[in-house]
Amino acid sequence: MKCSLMSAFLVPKAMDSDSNLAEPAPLPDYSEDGVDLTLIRWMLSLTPAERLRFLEERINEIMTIRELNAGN
Amino acid sequence: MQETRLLATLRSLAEAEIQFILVGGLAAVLNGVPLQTYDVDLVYSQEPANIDRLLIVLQSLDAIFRIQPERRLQPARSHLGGKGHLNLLTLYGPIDLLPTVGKGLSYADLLVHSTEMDIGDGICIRVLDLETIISLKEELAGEKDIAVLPILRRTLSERRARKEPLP
Repeated sequence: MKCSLMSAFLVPKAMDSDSNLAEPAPLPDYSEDGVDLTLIRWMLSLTPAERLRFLEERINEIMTIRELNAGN
Repeated sequence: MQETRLLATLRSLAEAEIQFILVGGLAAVLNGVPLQTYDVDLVYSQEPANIDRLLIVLQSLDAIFRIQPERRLQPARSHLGGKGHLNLLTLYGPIDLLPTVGKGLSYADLLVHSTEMDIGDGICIRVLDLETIISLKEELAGEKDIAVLPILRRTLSERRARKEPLP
């Protein structure tokens, strides 16, 4: 299948002068049920292609470590 | 060591114009969920022409059933046309082929719940949307499904928060 869609880019609206003065409230690191929200935000900052490449590299690294420690 | 090559698997399927929708853990990852997964789960169209193309790709990937790898049983057209899940091992790693998921949802049923994603190298595939992945996990409600629901739901919340227009 050829790509027919372009990735959508989120462009933040320009901040007005009042909002420049106030410090934004920090986003929580974890949800009430213990999910690491910083990890989710980081994943969402990647494109699907980058997510796939990252996962693939991680899997292969883990497989290599497992092989080095086979029998342990 | 045999490398797991997720992109190579998906490229093979896409280049052969196989009609499929990526589901499961890898679909969740492509939707932005920080999970670790090792196989490729997909729902495929059981149209005869699609099965013919899929069979050729599976042969080129040296696919065999995982259940008894030492017997090297290869999937046949009758398997692909059946109702059972096919858990296979290929040159590029494990792949699970599903005629349906959940309560009998087929490729045609899932199309409206999928989006086209660019996964690099000019390859686009259809991926099940996060809302439907969550619904299916809730429906299955097995231990492993329940375990991942919090992170799936939180990712969906974060995505929705990002897409909402700023006040």
